[in-house]
Amino acid sequence: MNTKLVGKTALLALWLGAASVQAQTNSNDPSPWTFSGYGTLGYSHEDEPNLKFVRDLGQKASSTHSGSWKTDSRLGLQAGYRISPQTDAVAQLVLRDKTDATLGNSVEWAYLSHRPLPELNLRVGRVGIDVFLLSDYRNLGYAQTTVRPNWDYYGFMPIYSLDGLDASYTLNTDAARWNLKAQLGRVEAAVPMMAGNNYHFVADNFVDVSVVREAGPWRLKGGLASMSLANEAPLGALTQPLAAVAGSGIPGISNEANSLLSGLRFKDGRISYLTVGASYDDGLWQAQGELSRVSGNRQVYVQGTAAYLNVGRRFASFTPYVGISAFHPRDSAAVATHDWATVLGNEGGALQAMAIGATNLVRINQRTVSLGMRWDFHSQASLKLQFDRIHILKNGNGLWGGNDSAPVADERANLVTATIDWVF
Amino acid sequence: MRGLKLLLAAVLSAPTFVLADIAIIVHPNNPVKQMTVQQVSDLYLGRARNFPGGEFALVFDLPRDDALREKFFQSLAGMSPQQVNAYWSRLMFTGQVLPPQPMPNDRAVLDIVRRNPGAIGYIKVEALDNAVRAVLTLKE
Repeated sequence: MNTKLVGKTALLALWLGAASVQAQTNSNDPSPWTFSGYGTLGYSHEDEPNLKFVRDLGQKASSTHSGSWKTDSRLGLQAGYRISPQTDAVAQLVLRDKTDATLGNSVEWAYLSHRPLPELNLRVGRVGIDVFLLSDYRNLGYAQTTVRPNWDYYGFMPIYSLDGLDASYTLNTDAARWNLKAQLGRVEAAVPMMAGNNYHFVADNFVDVSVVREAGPWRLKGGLASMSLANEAPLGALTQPLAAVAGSGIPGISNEANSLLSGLRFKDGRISYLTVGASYDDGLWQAQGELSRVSGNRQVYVQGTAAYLNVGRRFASFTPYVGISAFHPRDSAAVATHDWATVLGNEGGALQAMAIGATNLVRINQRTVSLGMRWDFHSQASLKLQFDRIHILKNGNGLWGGNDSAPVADERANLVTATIDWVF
Repeated sequence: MRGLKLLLAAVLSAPTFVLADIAIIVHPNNPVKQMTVQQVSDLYLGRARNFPGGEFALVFDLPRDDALREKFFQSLAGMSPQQVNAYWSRLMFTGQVLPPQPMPNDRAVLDIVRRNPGAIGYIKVEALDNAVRAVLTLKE
């Protein structure tokens, strides 16, 4: 579904709303409209000299500053219209820093929701991706204890919404409440690439299924998602000469170029996520953890195993918390196996370095320890402070922005963030 | 002596009303006669959309900063206003379910439940009248 179709869905929802307003006769009845929103005003600062912190791979790093108001700040506005007790129309606009933001792609939701049975909910339009524990409320800081979804775990994911449909089925048993959900549709997002180029990637066949079990203070979730990319990244300036070297027949070098080339092909490659997570909140203690495996069949994709665990305890309106997390890559970093410069000259050496750099561009290998405090100073607003100590291992700085120069060796970075989150 | 007993009984029983026990109310034509804390909690936390008999429930709430709402969720689920608001913001802003319709005060809740056979709401016990049925009373 493209932006125009989403616009039409929103217009249809508004038209249905207007038609229903006329049918409403009693002025004492509650309005079928709901308007609400949320926001985060945040400032983050890191001391990494060569890299820039970005909240996810869809953000473009500031070229000069180590501190930013834009990285974590966001504003969400939501309008809902209850067409009938079983049917709702909902649209949500989220203003946040992301690559090539437009008004159209800032409409993160625009859907019609219908419940033909009390247990079954169907939605069509633009809906939030719902695979991981926090997938569909990553922007909603107020509902999270920490300043942002765990960066090691969620930072690689630039996709927030899906144009298509989903269905969820809820089952209440004596012991627990179960929810099964499936989503299908098209996703797209823009991510910064090398040399200032952006990759507007598209996947027409995104599909996911998830299951949630809620009982008492526990919420457990498992999810599986898959997609294949429909278009190539703008790497022509790199892949064309690489293809020439691959076809040159130079022993060793030709094979290495061919291997790099196939690893850099984005189109038609398959990506999948497998995740399990749990959260616990008994009113006093709260904990949350997830484990996932990110797989793909191109070396240039983000691949590996990610996990985190946060634990916090409420003391009246204060909730101090600690967290640990890591992303461990599946493969070793791409390295040079032959000396291209001696055979092809300096240009050949530069091409080899650039191809290896591109292959390792989003390779993630880092670990983080976090310490923070949430203060609920108002019933609809909170203030949070968080300190992250991040260990970036060699060739593992794929989450960071400004990294298309030389990869870092093995470094430690400190990230400090303060946010005010609210809902209205 | 009898007068003293009556006086003592009045003094001992009065505080429970003064402390504004909360009545969960439905329309008198609603077939549901009684509900458990769990059933009411499921409706008010978005975990269920129907009455125990299967009828769709129109759930009415009070404004986020209302004092009775704070007592209601504390009694019902042991949740502070901040916890309730964070919980509902997650459900609402992920499109899972729209939250209960907030009415301006408990008089408006009483009025809408009187007029709507599928409605459920909560009010102070002393505001109860014969036009609605209390299916559960929460002690403060």
